[in-house]
Amino acid sequence: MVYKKTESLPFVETLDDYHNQIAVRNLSTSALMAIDLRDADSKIERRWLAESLDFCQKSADTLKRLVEEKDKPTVDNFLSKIFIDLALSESEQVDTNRLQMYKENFDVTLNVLQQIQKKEKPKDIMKSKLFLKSFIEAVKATYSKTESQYFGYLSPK
Amino acid sequence: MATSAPNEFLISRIRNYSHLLKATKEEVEQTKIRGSGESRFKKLASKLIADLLKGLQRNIALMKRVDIDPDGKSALSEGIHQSLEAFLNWVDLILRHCNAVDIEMHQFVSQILEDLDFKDMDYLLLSGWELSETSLSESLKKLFSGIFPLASDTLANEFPSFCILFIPQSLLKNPINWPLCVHEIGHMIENEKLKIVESFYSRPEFGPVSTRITYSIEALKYRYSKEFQADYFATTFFGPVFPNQLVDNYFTKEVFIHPTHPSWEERIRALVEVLRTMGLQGAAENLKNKSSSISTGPSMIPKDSLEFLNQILMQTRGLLEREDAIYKTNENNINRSREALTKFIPYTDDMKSLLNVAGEVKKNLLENAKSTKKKEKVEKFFDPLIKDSIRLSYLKRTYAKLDRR
Repeated sequence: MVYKKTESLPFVETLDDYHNQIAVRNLSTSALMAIDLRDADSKIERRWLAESLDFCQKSADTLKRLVEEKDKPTVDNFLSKIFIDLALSESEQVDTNRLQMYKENFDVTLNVLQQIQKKEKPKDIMKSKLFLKSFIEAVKATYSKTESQYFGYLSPK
Repeated sequence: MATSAPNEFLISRIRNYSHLLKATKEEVEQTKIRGSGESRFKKLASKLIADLLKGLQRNIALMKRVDIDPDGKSALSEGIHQSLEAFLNWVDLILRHCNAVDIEMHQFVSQILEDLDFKDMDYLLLSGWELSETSLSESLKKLFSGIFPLASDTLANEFPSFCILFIPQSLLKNPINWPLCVHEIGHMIENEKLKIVESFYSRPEFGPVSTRITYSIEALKYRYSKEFQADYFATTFFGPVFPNQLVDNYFTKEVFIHPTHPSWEERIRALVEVLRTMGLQGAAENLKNKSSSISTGPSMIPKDSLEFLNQILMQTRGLLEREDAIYKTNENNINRSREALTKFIPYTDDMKSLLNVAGEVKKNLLENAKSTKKKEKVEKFFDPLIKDSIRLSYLKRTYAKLDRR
């Protein structure tokens, strides 16, 4: 099986990929907000924290499985689809080191969020924030070429 | 991360979306949308826009806070921009493409859903690039995840499975091919109502698969089972016309079929078997002969690995049996339909018999037409005759129901 980048996909998959990447970017942004607003305790902030915990847990679990599958990682949810797209090298091989790096950083971020939930003073705040920011940028770059295709499909003829 | 833009600029950019959303709400209210999904879609758009406006206010308040770092604000502003731009484009697409679908196609789909007692489904028919079924609810939920919680909740609680059937123009203009849509209607019913496949294999959170990535066996089992189920549903409901049109499509390639669908060989073999079990031996033999020249590629997973497929198909059959919707050859209707169409008279008693003979009658008429002018006449008027027959059969049914009340 050859891994391919996201350009020139069929219609329905282009829509799906685009929605997936927006979801991941927005969830990562929520995690950033949850960290920044860690001292607030309104309904909205609690929801953000809960959603971010769920997202980071799911990401860490998914990445753990992908890393274990080594050079032939498989897709089983929308996150795994995005992680593989992010880890595809120029030669369309999956870079397992990159998946491992994402896994470690999601573990750190998850730990930070769990500390916030327990009202503890969180460690590694800067590390997790820097990671989330760079992760958002990486997702954006990976799917940048599909944006015009997506809006091309959605824009009425 | 790129250098952050000044906060006031980001806030004013976000504020602009309030006007756009309000204008879109008005546009939706004022546009006539064909088909039974009109009122539910208008309700969905109106509720979502109200939620998004509240979400915008909340996000603007966040942007003004000093305890959020500028990069975070930039990411939030970009997320809002991306999500709302995509949402507005979806609404625009729906408003502009819903009326490119003929009323007869709406009536065709309505008749099928009525037969199965699923009139209350949330769906829209749009003219599109590929014959496909997609969940509007799931797409929008992903767009709003994280940053527009109210809109996400509205989708999850009130519109969990609003779906869209995209139908290409080439198919819309050729009613003999319309039974191909029944496969997509099968997916729609499975996703919204039956949920049989997901009771055996967990549902992956992504759309149709391509060959660009390796998928887990479980995800492929789910997707493959759904394809076999939709083929089974369409054939059992509509009879031989579905597999025949599907095989014709292999040669014409009018409808895009994802490369990771089960192989043509396995699909056709399964369809031949369905026809046999329906007692349609002749149709099964015809299909087998017709498809003998189709070259096939290997499947990603073999059909035999779908250990629950038989149970899935039997449960699907259960629904069709319950609603008395299984296709049975009615020689009388077939003959009357053939006779009427040959004389260019609409046939309005039984849509299934009509579409099962339409292709054969058209072929005969073209073969028997002695002049090019006559052939052109057949080409020009036969498809409208089929559309008229579908429309009139729908009206007849609706009137008969009213009459019985």
